Order: sequence, then structure tokens, then C-alpha cells
Amino acid sequence: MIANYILIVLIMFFGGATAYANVKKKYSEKLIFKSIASICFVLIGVFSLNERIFSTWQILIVAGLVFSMIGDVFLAVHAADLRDQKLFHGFGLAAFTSGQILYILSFLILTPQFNLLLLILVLTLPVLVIIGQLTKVLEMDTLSKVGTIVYAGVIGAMLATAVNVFLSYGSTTFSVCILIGAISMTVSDFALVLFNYNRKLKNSLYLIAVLVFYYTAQILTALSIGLL
Amino acid sequence: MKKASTNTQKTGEEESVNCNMQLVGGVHNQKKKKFCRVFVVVLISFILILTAGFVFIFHAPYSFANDGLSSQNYKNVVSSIENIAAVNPKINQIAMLGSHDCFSIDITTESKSDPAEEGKLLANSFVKSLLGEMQVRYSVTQTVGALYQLNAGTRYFDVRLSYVDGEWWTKHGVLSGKFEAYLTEILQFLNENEGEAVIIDFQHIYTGDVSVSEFFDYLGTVEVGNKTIYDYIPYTTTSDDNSNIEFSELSYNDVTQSGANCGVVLFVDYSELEEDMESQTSIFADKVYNRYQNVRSLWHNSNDGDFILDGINAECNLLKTASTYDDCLRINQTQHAFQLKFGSILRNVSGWSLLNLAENHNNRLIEDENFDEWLSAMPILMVDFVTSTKGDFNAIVNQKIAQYNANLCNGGIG
Repeated sequence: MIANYILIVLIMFFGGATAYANVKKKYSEKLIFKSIASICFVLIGVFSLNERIFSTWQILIVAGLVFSMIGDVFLAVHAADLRDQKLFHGFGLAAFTSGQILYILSFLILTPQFNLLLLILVLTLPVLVIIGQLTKVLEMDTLSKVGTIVYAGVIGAMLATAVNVFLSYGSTTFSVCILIGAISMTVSDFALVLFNYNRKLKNSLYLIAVLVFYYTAQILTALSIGLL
Repeated sequence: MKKASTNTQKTGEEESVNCNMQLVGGVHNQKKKKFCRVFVVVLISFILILTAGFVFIFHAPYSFANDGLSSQNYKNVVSSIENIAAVNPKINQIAMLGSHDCFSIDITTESKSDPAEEGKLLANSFVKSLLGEMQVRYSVTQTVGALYQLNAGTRYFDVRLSYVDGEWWTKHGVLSGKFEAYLTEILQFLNENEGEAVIIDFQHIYTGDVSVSEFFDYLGTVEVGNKTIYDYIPYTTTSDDNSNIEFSELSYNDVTQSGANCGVVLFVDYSELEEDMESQTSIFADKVYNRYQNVRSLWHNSNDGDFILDGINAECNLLKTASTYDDCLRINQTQHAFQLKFGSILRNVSGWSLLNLAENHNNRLIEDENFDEWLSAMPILMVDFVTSTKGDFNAIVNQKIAQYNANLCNGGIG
């Protein structure tokens, strides 16, 4: 669908502009560019939905995209006061976590059975975060420690359910999109955690990689709606 | 057979009923699905519009107004008035271009909160973060500094200050820049010109834990060419021996020493400060007039241009018919204001910024048939965006003011 190709190009352009504005510390521009990119991936989901019969899993993914967009907006709001900034981050993280939970529900609906071995994957990510915290690779306050572990659990569950979709459907365009989307999202979030909480990894190029993986994840997840 | 036939008939009817029910159910399901589809699309569209609205309306950092880089050919707008020293008009008779919230150009989303605004909704840091650039767009009223404004014909400055962390800051809702930078530019202009009168009206001063006398003393510490602001005030406003000049009597020659130098008139509102003039310890306290007693300046507090014009006309009529404020400096407040009232929200959005509102509204002012009437009732024309070039505003307003003053000093206006 031509609209989706145009939207993907727009996401690439505004994603790049977001990274540039972030490096230049132009926070208002960053918010605007990031929001446009997020609106675009929601629209990809909506346009993919338009061609098909509305199924619960599809609606859950679109809702997940919408929550991710809201999360993006809140995370990009720049507040002069540190407490307000934490509050906006809190709202953003809550919206984002909600988005991931909606993806998990959608992936669970798509598969009749859940491979229990994948529970290892659910637990692996929080364990990696805990190891990072204990070895001081990640340095953060107590609230952030708890929040990051919980979020890693949610991301782990999302990845596990996506792998489960892949195992159930075999190697189809649909299941590969879901799987690569989930892996990209996991890589993006882990890279972001490292960027935010590791003293050495402060290169802005690193943040660009975070955005590339993030938008890849959202685009693939949105496109998957029209592929089954 | 009959029984069997009846049974077959019955089965046929049941099938037909089932079929109809399925058909009805199918249509019902389709309707349900269609409703769901419309509902989801409407809901998502609503969320998208809401998000886009929030981001673009509140956080767009662009004003889209003209650059405000008018010509700087108006360095001598007062001294060039023919016969001004000979006629020697009172200061409150001379028409001047005024700059509303003149030193707000340094305001950004990073600007610190003004302690004087503590407790107000718009001063709340969370609300400020939500409003983002919109607050900046509705706080910045000028685009250039003091020297540029002076060269573009501004002779009245509406200044608001707060004392924060041992320094005097200009402000408009939030802190803008340090006052010293602007004051230095004013002193530079006074130093380089002759016969110009400049009015600095400290409308609001938040002194924090110090008194206004400390502010007066501070003004005496800022020098350009070995001269402070007080070197441009050759008269006193209060005295024990009646050697002072009441503002109602203050004339052009008193301020500029008959056009030989530049001169300054300072106002401070003691009533707002809850301090009295007599108890001031500063040796410079007698260089400042009390704004409360000597200035008439009605704020229309609206973002509706028509409402403001009606207000200006009403104020003009009042001042023309009553003599109560004849001795005061009379200011025509023409500027828009950000409004949180329900009916004004859309105007805030469509107006976009004070600069955008002003660039259009200022042209309506100079095209108004009552413009000269307004000048005679309220000689200080205070506007946002004094240097706007849209419709050649800055040049036309300076010409109109010059014409008015020429008439004033050559018998045209009493």
C-alpha cells in the first residue's frame, strides 16, 4: 500500500530529525519531530487495519501503537524542573508499558498455546538488568532500579510471546515481522537503558541506533496487522 | 404420510426460520462490526488529533511573525521636533512610542520562574512544561534589545523586574534577562545623543528580601562613559525646600536641559511595593516619581482586538471629558494578553503569539480614524512589537507621532 511506504519514509525522515534535534538540545523541535514519527507509525497500523476484518488482536496492536505514541510524547516533553521531568518520564513509561502489555495480549490471542520454555526468556532480561545493577554497569536510584527490572520483565514477556507467535506460525512474513519487531524493540530498550544509566556510553551516535531499532520495531509491528 | 409430510414441512419451516435467524444474525453481526470499525477509527482519530494538537499548539517554537528589524532612523524623534525647546511642552504632552514589556526578548522554555508569580497557575512548573513554547509565545513581546528599540523610535519603556539570587532580572511571567545589559544599552544611547527624553516606567518590581532603595542604589552603579542613569536626571522629584519639580509641571527643558543633553524620567510604583517614598534611604530616591500618583494606564486585559479598540475609545472619551488625570502621564495600552477564560482559549490558539497578534493589531491602530484623538488623550502609545515592519508599522507610527508632536509645538494642538 503506497500510503504505508510514504509513512515509512516520513518516519525515517522525522526519526532522523528527532535525533538531530536531540543532539542540538532543541527540545521543542525534538518533541514535534518525534510526535510526527509516532503519529506515522499509528497511521501505518490504522491503514493496515482498514483492509482487514477487525479482529481483537489487530485492535490490541493498534491500541499498543497509540499507547507507544502517547509514551513517546510524554518522554519527549522537556521540563525545566527535574521533578516535573521525572513526572513526565513516569507518565511516558506507564503509557509505554501499557503499550507493551497490549502487544503481549495480542500475541497471546494469536497463539493457541504458550511454550513454557519461553518463560526462561521472560526471566532472562530482568536477571540481566539485576546483574548490570550489581556490577555497577547500570547506576541508578532505587525507584529506577525497581522500575527498570519490572519493565525488563514486561519486555521479556513481549519478546517471549512474539517468539511464541513465530514458533506457532512458522516462518511466514507475518510471524517474521512480529519476531524482528519484538527483537528490535528489546535491543532498542536495552540500548536506551545503557545510554541512560551507564556513565561511559554517552555518545549521541548510540542514541541514533536506539531510535533506528525503535522505529524498525514499531513499523514492523504495525505492518504485521495487514499480513495475516 | 401425512405425518411424515407434516414433519418434513415442519423441518423445512424450521430450516427456513434458522436460515432467517442466521441471516438476521449475520446482518446484526455485520452492523456490529461496522459500528466497531467506525468507533475504533473515530477514537484513534480523536487521540491522534489530540496528540497533534497538544504537540503543535503548545510546543511549536515558531512565531511566524515578521523579523521586526525595522529601520533605525528614529534616533532623534524628540529632539528633531521643530521648536520643541522654545515651546517647552510638558513631558506628559509629548507623544511617544512605548514598548510594552520591553525587555522580554530573552524568554525561553528554560527561563527561570519569577518568584513574584509564585502560587499562580501559569507559574506552576508542571503547567509551564505542558504549555511549553506557547507560554514563551505569549510572553515575548519584543524582538530586539533596548538600543535597537531606542533607535527605532521607542521613548517609553514598560519595565518589570525581580530581584533573584542577588541580581535584577527583567521578566514577563517568567524571568527574561539581566537588567544590567538593557540598562547599559539605554545609557549608551543617552551618551551618544542629545535632546532626547526617555521614560523608564518600572511598572512592577519584586524586591524579594531587599528594599526598593537598594534598587535605586544599584541603578547608580551601572555606568557607561562614566555616567549613570542619574546623570541624565537633572531635577529632583521630592525635596524639603520645594526645589523639586512635580511631574505635572515637568517639561521637556527640565529633563533635557533645554535640549543640550538627553534626559530620563523614572517611575516606580510605591503602592505596589507597599513602601512609602519618604522612608527611602537611598540618596537617589528623589530622582524617581511615584507611578501610583502620576501615571494613568488602563490595561484592557483581553486577547480580542475589537474589545481592546472599544476599550481604548472608552478610555479616550473618559480622559477627554474628565480632568482627573490631566496631570498624569497617560498611557494607551494597546496590547493583547493571554487569557485563560473559556471563550478566549480559541483566540489564544488562533492568535498564535503576542508578536503575531501585535503585527496585525498594530496596523489596525495606525489606520484607526481616532488615532490622533487617542494621542491627544493618551500621548504614550504603548504596543507589543514596536519594531514590527508588517504594513510598515514602525515607520508609519513614527511619522504619525512626529506629525502630532510637530503640531503640538507649532500651535496645532493646545
